[in-house]
Amino acid sequence: MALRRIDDPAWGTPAADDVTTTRQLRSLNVPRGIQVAGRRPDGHPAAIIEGRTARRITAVTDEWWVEDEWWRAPISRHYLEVQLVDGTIRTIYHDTVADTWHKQAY
Amino acid sequence: MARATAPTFPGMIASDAFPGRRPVIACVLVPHFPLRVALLGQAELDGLPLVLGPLPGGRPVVADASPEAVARGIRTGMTLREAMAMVPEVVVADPNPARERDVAEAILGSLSELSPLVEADRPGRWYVDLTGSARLLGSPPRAAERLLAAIPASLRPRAGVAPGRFAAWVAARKSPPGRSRVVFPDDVASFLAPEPSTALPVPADMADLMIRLGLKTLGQLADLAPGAVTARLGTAGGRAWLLATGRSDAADTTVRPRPEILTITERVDLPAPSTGREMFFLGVDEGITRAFGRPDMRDRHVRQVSISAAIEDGRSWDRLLTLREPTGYERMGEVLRQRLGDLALPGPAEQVTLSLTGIITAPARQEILPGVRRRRPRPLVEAVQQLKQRYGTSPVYRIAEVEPWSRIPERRHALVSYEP
Repeated sequence: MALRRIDDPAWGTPAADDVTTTRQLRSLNVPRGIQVAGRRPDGHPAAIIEGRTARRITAVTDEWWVEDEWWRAPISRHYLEVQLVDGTIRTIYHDTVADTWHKQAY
Repeated sequence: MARATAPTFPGMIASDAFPGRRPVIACVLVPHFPLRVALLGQAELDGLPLVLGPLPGGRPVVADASPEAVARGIRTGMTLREAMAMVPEVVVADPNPARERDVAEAILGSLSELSPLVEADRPGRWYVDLTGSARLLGSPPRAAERLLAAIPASLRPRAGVAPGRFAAWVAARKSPPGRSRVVFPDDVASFLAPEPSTALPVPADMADLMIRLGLKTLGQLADLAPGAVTARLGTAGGRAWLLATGRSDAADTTVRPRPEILTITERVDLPAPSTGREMFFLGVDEGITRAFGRPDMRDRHVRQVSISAAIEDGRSWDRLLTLREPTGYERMGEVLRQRLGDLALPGPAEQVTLSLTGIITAPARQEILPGVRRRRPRPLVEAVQQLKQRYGTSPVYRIAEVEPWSRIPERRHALVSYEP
């Protein structure tokens, strides 16, 4: 007869009659990863790459920083509102902790 | 590996030790259970002077102390400030009732694999009926080893086996961690004789009275005539005499397994740790929707709800709510909000767990008069039912505000299940 130990992943399995499920409450507006390329004279990225498409940034219309939760898992984001070559406006940010880029409506 | 300190002699088998149909009761003990659970996963703290702090909102006193802390002079009931002044290196562990419940359930499950008759008596104490299980589990010492092997060694479990619950508990209490002690029927009276009479399961005032009467050990009580004991101490005293003499009554040899109760548990991981009511109740609502959305929960009502929250830093918060009347899906969220009006989480919640028990068929109720019935969006109801039929779950969600003021955009709104 196999006995289960507490470090066994099978631990916590409910009795046959019981039902336990775990689900994630889904957030809206979750940031999506992008890549950036080049560097403009002002130091900001020159283009964003979404999938296989690279689009040039023609202007940076706004920028701001969000620093939060330094006591837990620090959040440090440098947001940029950029205008792309086709005229669309995007909000992207640089995660300065993970050194990654994301797009996210603000 | 556990080693039983049982008398052994050539050819001894279980039926020799516990002849005939004599009951064989095992007691598995984890002293300082909440403290031991707090240590799980923190092996580096084992051996340090540890104390258990109060539950959130409780008085800052020592709720329990490890043997290492007791050896340094710390006592239960002492204020935490006093304990820290006395032993500066003392480690204060926060109680985690939800984790304790999970660990206790897991232990119960493991012991139940060895015997169908397992009783969770109180936190850290389980009784197992081993009567007639010699062929399956071996002799009592071997069976005790197997019981101990079912529990993580870091909890420092110990076991006792005897013909009755009381003797088994005393045997377990006298065993060192990881070991077991078997008391055979012929040895029970002599084994119990030197034990203090305060060990008896009697009311505190009766224990005091026995001390005042000079009955300091079970042997002194057993030497008295049973009639005299009953005349002075009543029927409870008579039972105490019975136990002190190594005999057992029906209550001492009965292990009451927990009745099978269907429990539906839904755990909801929150998008981000939060102390806010909105986020907490969003998780509760999601759990309610998911639980009642199960096909077998259709038209069911619930009598009892257990809600717990996993708090950052390994703490937890929990509340057991017995509802005034069986409540179904439509009113559950509102009822829980009312009952938890004074909700004050001790820290940011990461996960909300909702357990529904006492599940019954919806009781008949006076219907609302035609014409005043709440109008439901009929096409939407049918559309959702069709989608559930096709995909198993409803893929229709509604957008709920969580922390609309948050500077982190993904914390502002969440999708929650929608049941029209």
